[in-house]
Amino acid sequence: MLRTLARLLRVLNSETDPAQIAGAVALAAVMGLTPLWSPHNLLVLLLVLLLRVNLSTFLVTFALFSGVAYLLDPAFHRLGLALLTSEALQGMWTALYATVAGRLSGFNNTVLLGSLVASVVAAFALFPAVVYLVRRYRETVRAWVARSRLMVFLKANKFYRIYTELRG
Amino acid sequence: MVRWWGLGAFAGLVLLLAGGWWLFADYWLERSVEKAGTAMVGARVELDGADLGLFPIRVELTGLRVTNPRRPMRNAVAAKRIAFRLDTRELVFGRTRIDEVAVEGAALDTPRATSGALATRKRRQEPGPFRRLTGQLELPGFRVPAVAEVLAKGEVQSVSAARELERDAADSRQRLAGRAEDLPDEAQVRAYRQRLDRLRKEAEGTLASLVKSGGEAAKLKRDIDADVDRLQALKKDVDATRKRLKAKLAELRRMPGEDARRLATRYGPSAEGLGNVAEAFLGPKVAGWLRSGWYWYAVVEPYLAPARERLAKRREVTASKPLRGTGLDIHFASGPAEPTTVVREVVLSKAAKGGEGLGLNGRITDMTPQPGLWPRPLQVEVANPGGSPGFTLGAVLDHRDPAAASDRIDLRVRGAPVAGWVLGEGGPLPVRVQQGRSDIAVTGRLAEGQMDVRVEATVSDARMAVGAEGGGELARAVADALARVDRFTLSGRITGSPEDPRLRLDSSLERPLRQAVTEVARARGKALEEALRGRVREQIEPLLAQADERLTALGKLDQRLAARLAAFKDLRARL
Repeated sequence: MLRTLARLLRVLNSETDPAQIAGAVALAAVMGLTPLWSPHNLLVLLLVLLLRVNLSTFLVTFALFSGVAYLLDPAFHRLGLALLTSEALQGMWTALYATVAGRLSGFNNTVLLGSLVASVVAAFALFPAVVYLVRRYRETVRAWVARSRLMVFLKANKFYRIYTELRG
Repeated sequence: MVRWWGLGAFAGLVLLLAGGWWLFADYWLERSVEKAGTAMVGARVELDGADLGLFPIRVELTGLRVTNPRRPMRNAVAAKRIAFRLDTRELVFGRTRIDEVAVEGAALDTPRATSGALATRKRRQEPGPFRRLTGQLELPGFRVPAVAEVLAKGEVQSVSAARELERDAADSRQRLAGRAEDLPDEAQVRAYRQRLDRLRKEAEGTLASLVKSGGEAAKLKRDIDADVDRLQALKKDVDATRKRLKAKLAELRRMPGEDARRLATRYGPSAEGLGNVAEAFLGPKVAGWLRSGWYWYAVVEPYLAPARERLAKRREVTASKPLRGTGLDIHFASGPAEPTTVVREVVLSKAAKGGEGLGLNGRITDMTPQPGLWPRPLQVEVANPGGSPGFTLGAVLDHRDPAAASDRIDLRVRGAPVAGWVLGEGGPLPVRVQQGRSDIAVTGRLAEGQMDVRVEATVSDARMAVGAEGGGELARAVADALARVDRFTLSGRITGSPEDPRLRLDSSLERPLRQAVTEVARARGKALEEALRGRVREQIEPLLAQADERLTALGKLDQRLAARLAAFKDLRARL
């Protein structure tokens, strides 16, 4: 756990492109908030591995979003149910249900659809937000944190040793 | 921007998953089948191996053994190989479609090397229906009641009649003796004689005295006549009373026999209360067959019932699996409603001949858990024509309309060994069949909760022995009767509901068994009758003796009256 957090801090404090960090968070949101063994997550995994997103950030935020997803399941269920039973969308859903791809996707599950829609929306919102936040962190917070008493204290313990080891 | 090694990693991951599938899919399938089968049957279900193939999806199971939960050292069903293909596209659409399941080397009732009972789970609960049948079937008891017990329960008419006779005789004697006291006696005779002598003397005098004595003589005659009439009336009454009491006494001497016969018939062992002997002896066996059949029907029946979720109408949206964390699957009708699972045909072939168990050849068609969505009912046609015993089984389980579900079965078995059958099991006289063979035909229908099952069986080359030790006279009689029987038939009909069945059985065993039991009942009843007669006679004898004494006294009174009457008549003749 300490090692993972240290990796995350290292990434934040490194010169890694904020877009790579933001991409990892956005994809982690999709994979973490939706049921893990869903077919679309294979595509997410391919994107994570293929695109130059930060893997450490992806792993940490994926775990975070998975925990949050459990709490948000009832909301996802309500959202998915509303979409799947919406009269306006019945034609589309029925057509999709009649296709092999539609059936394989499992879109007709309330939690899956609700969480997928919510996570994709969240991913689009998270990407620019994370890019902005990483930049702001590096510009202002990083120097302040380094001088803070907390950081001085932390530098004296095990966590900082791990951090420096990783930083190499 | 693109991390090409990521593509390789992804491919590696996919290959890793495929490799894991290749390594463990067969094991997973084998364990899944064993686990699901065990849960379904309630006893161990085992496989020697399983093979799951893709493109197209293909399943092959080898060495299937399904333990009979009621006999854990036997397999209810075994098969050497089961193979089928699944329609991949239909599977994607959530429907299991199997055109043909090939079952090779299938057999019923094969032996097991080790027990297939589950150690950690309770046995499947035996179904309640038909349990009541055996409870109805019991031979009536043959206990001979004690004489005192019978006399206490039943009214003994001889004793009350004897008491009445004794009272009657005493009252009659008293009444007639009293009347005799009031009638003219010897003194009156002497008085009449003196009047007569005086009249004779007066008649020897003057004419006037002669006329006077003539009037006196007429008066005397009237007096004597009146007394004779009174004496005659009493004597007639005495004669009639004596005759009546004698007749009653004679009748009373016959009554103990009638009493004993009546009481022995009512309270003693009798073949009249025997009921249907064939039902008593063969009913438990037939009930056992029915329970066994019902047990397996109860195992299969849940899988024939329509699933709760049914796509009944086009464009209807339905929901299932309301579990937290997994959400609901919303179904959109994409065509006419169809069952989720259909096995169009199961072909059983290559049954082992002469091996252990009953080999099976034949076919089962149109298997689905949603028969309401399928046009044809499930049909079974299996046989073991060359085997011993040979059998054919035809069945149609039509649950297409749940409200009018109808199941029909036609089972014929030829040459089934019957050694080990116990007739009248649990009853007072279990009969063990030591050898023999049977031909059995069962036809049945279960519709709307009501059944009509007919059983016809013929047992030949039979040898039977009464199992009860120390069963005494009855056991010996039944054993003697059965020793002469080497062939018998059984014809039964079971109606009503499984919860409240009504059984009617007829058998050629009925006659010899009834005869044997009747003879024993008759002999025991005769002995009881003799004992009762002796005891009743003991009770009425003192009363009869007293009545006899009164009758003798009346005889003496009659004699006295006759003598007195003769004296009066003699006097009148002299007038």
